Amino acid sequence: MIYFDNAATTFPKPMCVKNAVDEALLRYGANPGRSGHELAAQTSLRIYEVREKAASFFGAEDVEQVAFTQNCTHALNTVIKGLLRPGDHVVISDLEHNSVLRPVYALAAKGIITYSVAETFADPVKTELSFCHAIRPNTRAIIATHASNVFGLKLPAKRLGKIARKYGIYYIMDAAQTAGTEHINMKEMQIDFLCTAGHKGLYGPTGTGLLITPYGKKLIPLMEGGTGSVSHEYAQPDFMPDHLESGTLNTMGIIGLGAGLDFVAHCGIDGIAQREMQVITTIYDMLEQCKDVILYTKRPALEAQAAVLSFNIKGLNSEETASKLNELGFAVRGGMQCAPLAHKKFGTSQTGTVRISAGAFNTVEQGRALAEAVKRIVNSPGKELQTPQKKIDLP
Amino acid sequence: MAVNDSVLIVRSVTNAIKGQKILESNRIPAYVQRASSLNRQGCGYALKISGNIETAVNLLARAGIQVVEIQGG
Repeated sequence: MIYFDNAATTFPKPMCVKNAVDEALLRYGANPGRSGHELAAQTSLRIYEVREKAASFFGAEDVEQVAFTQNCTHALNTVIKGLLRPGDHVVISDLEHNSVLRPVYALAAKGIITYSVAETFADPVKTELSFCHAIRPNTRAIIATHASNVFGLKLPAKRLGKIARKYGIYYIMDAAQTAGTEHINMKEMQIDFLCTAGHKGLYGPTGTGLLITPYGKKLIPLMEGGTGSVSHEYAQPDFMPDHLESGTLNTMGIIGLGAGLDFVAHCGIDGIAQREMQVITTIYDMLEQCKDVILYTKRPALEAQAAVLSFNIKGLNSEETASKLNELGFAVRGGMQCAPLAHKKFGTSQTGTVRISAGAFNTVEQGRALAEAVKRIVNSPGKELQTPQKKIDLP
Repeated sequence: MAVNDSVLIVRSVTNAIKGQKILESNRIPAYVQRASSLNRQGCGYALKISGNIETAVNLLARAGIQVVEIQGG
């Protein structure tokens, strides 16, 4: 099976991540931040080191600004539900994943907040103006993805950060699709809350995510509970990261995430991004030659797009195409990819799209093989497809 | 005011490890340990230091680390 579903979670994980998790299971099994014995101290130190790496990776000013979460959705919910107050208004983009849309919609449905959806454009200036026009006197935050998980289109993050500063509102970035392939510096980009997955472009295990912010104390926590600190007090600690980290941490996952951060740093963000984009443009160029293949974006380029590509085959819905590709040995994702706004924008709400998303381990040869498989499906609609005899191994 | 083997109680394990790194980079030996549950705030972590308490507390304060209690010394 050749894996092209890296926007959902990257696979395979680097060997250093596997080794780190193995080592954590063997050596760092104590509960960090709870007990005082040597094993707990060693485990706490490993967790702290990952916090340091994450802070440095994203240009956070202090290690205590890093809170570990289960995933990006958890981080976004923590911010959205913890920050917004009755009467607030937020601006989101028309490319948002349900991890932003649903918590925002839920608060709006309860009459707590209102929200506007800003249209995005290929021209970053037009996108900037669109966000500006959506801001109201009671707007508290811009909440926007850094890149669409369906079509890969990037939003002008620096411009959105500047708008947020200009209007005195918060900028909350969903970096699920870009952390690890884009240089993200919170200070330079004026990001107030950075939410991301640990298991995608940072190559950590599933069950890991990050919320990085200098404003953690302003959030009402989603959960209260044991933190191993100030235990006489009935109230949740008001200091970070304990304020947002109740209950035992995902020690093994976090240590694996630390190795994932090392992997990205070793390969280089630009190197990974360029490699992924080379694979995606190879596929794009081959699919563009097929008259029955529908592509929704211009030829991908790093300046404007993450290594994510959506397409459809005329006469087939996206799930059928994804299923046929699975039969041929390729893992891609059909359907809505949890992003109804993006599909509405592109007119694909009824069909969904087939999403191809590259990772650090995909090769151009794999990309060509995938495009050839799509051609086979195009040329034999409705026919039973033969799975290739030769098994294609993962890298 | 040189006092040996004092225990500075801080609010969390993250504070403690961060504090240890800061103190050691300033040549003040520091060891992270669990705070006594008899301290005012309950469970927490502490830095056992060998060095000048005032200097240590000031270094920690500059890094945003609040020392909630000083024991011994």
